Amino acid sequence: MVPASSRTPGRPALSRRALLVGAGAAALVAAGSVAWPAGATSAPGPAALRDLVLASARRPYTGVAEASGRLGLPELPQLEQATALFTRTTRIRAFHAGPDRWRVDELTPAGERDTYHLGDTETLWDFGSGRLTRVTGSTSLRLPRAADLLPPDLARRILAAAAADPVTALPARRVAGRSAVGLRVTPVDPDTTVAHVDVWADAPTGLPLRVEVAGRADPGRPVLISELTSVDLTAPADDVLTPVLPPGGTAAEVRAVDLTGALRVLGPAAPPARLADRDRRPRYPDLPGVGVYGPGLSGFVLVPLTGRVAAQAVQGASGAGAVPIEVPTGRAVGVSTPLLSVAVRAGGRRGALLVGTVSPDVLARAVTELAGQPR
Amino acid sequence: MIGTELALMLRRRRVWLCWALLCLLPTVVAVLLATTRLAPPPGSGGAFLSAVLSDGQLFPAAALALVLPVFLPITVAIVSGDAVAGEASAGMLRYLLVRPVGRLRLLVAKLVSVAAFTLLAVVFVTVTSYVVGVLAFGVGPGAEIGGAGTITSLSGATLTPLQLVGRTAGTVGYLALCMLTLGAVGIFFSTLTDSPLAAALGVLAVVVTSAALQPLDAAEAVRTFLPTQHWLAWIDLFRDPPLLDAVRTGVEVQLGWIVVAFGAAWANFTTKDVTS
Repeated sequence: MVPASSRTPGRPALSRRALLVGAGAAALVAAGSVAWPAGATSAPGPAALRDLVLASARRPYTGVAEASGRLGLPELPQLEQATALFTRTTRIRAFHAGPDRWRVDELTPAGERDTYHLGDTETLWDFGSGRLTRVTGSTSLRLPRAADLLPPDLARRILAAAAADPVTALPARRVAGRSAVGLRVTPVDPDTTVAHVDVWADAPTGLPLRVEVAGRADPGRPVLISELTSVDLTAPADDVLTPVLPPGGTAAEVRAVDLTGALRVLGPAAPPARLADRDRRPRYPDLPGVGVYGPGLSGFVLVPLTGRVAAQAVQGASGAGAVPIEVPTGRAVGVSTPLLSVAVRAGGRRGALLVGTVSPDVLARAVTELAGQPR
Repeated sequence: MIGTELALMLRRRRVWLCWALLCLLPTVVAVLLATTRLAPPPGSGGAFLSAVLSDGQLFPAAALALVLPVFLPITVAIVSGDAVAGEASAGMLRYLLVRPVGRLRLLVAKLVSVAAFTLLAVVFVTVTSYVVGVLAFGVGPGAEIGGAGTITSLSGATLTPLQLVGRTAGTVGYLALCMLTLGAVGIFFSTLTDSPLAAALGVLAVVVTSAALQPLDAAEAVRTFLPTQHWLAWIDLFRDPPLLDAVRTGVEVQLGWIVVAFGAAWANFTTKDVTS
């Protein structure tokens, strides 16, 4: 037998060394998980901070963000990429020189999908397909994309929509190594699904660094969190903002989806001036049949559908557990998630889709009113 | 002592067998891909695998992604689990300790030996898969314009041969460090038992547990500290500009694991009564 030590055989030394290692491990874990204090900042009031955030669109920055969504949306055919943004964690890298000059990369373990925005032109790079696509024209309504989830864009969009809702101050915290001051927007409308939206922004510049959106169903557990994990407030170099077609890559040019033309083919009726006690807002006047109702965080949008698509949607949603809605004519169903409510109505040659951050009851009322109107 | 351990490792047949098997798997995949031309659809399958058909120079990255989740950890578990327990099971440990060499020095020599094994394993996979990739798929259009070694980054920008060498070297070093974490854990387990197999299985249990916890929302608080969480961070080195945040975090976490696991091995081994 070879004793460990002639001076202290066995247990006591073992305990001391094990304790030393245990303490070291605990110190390492603590160093990695401790929330460092925000430090002293000259914090503006919540209303001033909201104005600062809304005015921060011209602030240049480069950063990496992580957006985690728990909206519980079902997988929709052809829309997997858009719904995944709200149901999974998305890594995003942003190079922002200004509102008209930016590049946003959606980073995946198998590649990346980049969007370059230069003036009126957008160019998309997809490593998987090796394709560089230049998009000409523009559309007033499009599917969500990774760039929409960046904390600065998300915060500005929400705060602009909820301009009339009250804001309160939140304790400062450290985000991406910077001191961030916070504000909470609490919608006053009792029918909204949004409990509150918390925004933390870099104190001197107002650049939003973290956004949390919590639903009324469980206000303590945000359903959407987007945070810049690292940020540099200097302007990105020009060369990273210029798309380059690599050797062997495919160049393509497409026109932006012509939603106006597609909707005109449907021949939809003009959207009602008022639905479910909410006035129609003057949004998307170029899109026939589309109506936006209600203010900010307690609104919904009405989109016309063909009768066939609406019938398929109603049938598919019914199979997935949607709740039937009683309407005077045709069929309608409703689906609710922690943040979004959806209702679809089918009947005859036309149907309608309603989506919004309002309670399912509001959409059920809107669908019933729609079904009772002469079309 | 370190030289002796390195020489011992290089003389072991099982070590060379591990390296050979590690290089064989990507070669089999390359042969299958080259003969069928059926790569996974873009955006799915292993990293870089869908792109290797058009540029064989990307195959080292695809090969590393292939061996990383299972094969590389298994070989590291085998070698590190054998480090101390192998000597004990052969009845050699007490003779080893009779020599005027401190136990800490012996453990350091074992760790260096495991580090050399992991580094060489990653280097061998990288080099053989580059050769196999270029032979099976040829060089891509980037190489035809910019010379051998020119590839397209994940962001679409072209990487020069010098950039490719630098980023590949970074990947090799990073993955060797990730595997050294398992090596340190293996050495710790190896000091707890006289059975190399039990120590190797302990390492694999750590890998499986970590991989199982990774996707769980309930494990969010500990996710950063999981050893497997940062294994794929090296892919960010092939973006343009390269993204170093995840790699930096990964290096910190792996170093933390190495310090703690090696410290635990030291705490246990230096006070252990060796009877084997």
